[in-house]
Amino acid sequence: MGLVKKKKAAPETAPAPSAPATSARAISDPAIPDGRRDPLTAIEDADASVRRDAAHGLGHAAFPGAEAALARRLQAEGDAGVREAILTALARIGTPDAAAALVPFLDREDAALRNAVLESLQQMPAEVAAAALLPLLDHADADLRIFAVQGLGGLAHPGGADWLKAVMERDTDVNVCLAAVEALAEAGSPEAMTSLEALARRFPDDAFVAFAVDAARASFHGPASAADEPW
Amino acid sequence: MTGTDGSGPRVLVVDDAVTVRAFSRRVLEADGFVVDEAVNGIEGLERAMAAPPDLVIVDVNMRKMDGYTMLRVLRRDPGLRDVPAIMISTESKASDREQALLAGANWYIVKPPRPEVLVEAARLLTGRPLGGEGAP
Repeated sequence: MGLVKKKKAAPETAPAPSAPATSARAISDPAIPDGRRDPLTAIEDADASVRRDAAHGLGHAAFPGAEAALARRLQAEGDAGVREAILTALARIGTPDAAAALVPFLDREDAALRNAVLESLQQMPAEVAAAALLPLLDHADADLRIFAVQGLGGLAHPGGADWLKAVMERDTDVNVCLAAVEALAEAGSPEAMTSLEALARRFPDDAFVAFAVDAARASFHGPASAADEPW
Repeated sequence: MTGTDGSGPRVLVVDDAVTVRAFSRRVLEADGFVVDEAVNGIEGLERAMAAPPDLVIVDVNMRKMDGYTMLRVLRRDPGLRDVPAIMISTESKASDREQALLAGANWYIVKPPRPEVLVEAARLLTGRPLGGEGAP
């Protein structure tokens, strides 16, 4: 396995690692209203409501370095509302840098964070999210490949079905393949039937694979007789 | 005995994958369990509170509320804290199993579920006689 899930204690006011120096932007940047702090600084404030407002501000204005600042804060953030604001801001920014900043969080031990990150990636423009997720299909960790499949499966991208078919034909982990089956069945992709049949042949003794392939086949073409008792 | 006649132990299957829910339903109903479904932890808790089941089977990774969080909430509820729980996940590392047990799971099954393993675990945790292959 290439990466190891990182345990993170996340007290509400934990400082982010390598927090940036206070910026002088607040005085000079016309994007910041009079009397308000620079969001790049405020995102590290001890008060959660200030951090939440800062995240909101960073998601609504083109601040250079916003993606890195938000991701840095997310590493240490323990307040659910601020987390949500950060993830919403990164999804709204929607740049390749924002997507790249989110991908490492898919490897965290915190299941709620992993799932929220995946949702944020799926809210980004499909081509941006796809570019960030596709490299994970080759990752040594099957759990990350599953996240990549789930993420790609939820994107409205013309390449989606082909990526998932390739996973079903090539990935050695049955759960990665099954994630692709689930995604394709939800998307309704009858052109994937050949790949589904190939998957059933690759795992001939797995009752769940047989069931999943039959269920996907039924969703494409209506119920098949083989689906009655797959094991 | 069939699971659809309403007489067997009630199992709540909480998973965002429709295939897993359908597979679990088919396997468990064939063994006499009555199966209810939910698609995430929040819906799972709502259903469990409305009608406490005899067993919950919970996936780890789900939108809105993950399985660990759901189990932690379940274990704090006086009316549900004693409901046995199976956590089911693609994640097979020892640390994943440990995290599930810490959250309140009584059993851990790695996906894809094998029918005989699912049934034996469900029987064991609901106090029904075991038969066939042993539990994992």
